[in-house]
Amino acid sequence: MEAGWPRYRPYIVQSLLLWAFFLASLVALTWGSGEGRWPAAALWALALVQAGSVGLQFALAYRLIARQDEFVRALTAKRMIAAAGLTIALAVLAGLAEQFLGLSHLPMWLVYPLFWGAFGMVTPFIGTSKP
Amino acid sequence: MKSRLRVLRAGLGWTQERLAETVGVSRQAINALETERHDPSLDLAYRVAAAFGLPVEQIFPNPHEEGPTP
Repeated sequence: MEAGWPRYRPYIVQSLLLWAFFLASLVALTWGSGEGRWPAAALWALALVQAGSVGLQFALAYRLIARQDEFVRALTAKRMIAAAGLTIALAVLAGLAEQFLGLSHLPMWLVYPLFWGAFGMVTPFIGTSKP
Repeated sequence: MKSRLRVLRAGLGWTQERLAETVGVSRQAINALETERHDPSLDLAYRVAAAFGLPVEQIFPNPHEEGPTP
């Protein structure tokens, strides 16, 4: 049996690299978009690659989960559903507050770190595969 | 689902790790079965039964046979 979620060294290394790329891309986009330093095409390309890295991260997570036993799979699925629900609820709240209550605009890419933060927060509270 | 897993495992002097290796699951899964935090699939129940050389229902009693038949 392979090491359980998420203690699988290749996954950890790949995730760290993807997160580093995500943060570096943010810095690059922030700098490149300032004062028209980079052309729009370059900014679009970087944004697309960055979004692709998010998709890749989830693909890696899915592949890791698929290798686990039924208990770990069920537990992780429950935690991800709870984290997705929390993230979407917060995103909806922020959207409504921005539209109707004058809350400052929040960039949508925040849902990505918010999701994994929510996953970490719900993890200690979900320890059974049962309903 | 209640099980006799912990009693049977302790009777053989096995650790959770050893049973997990024999069955092919994580130690967390064995712990979850013993503490009733996971109901095993039919496949897992058969694998556990094979590890002990016992029929499945001697390890995981059928909860649907406890009450009177309607």
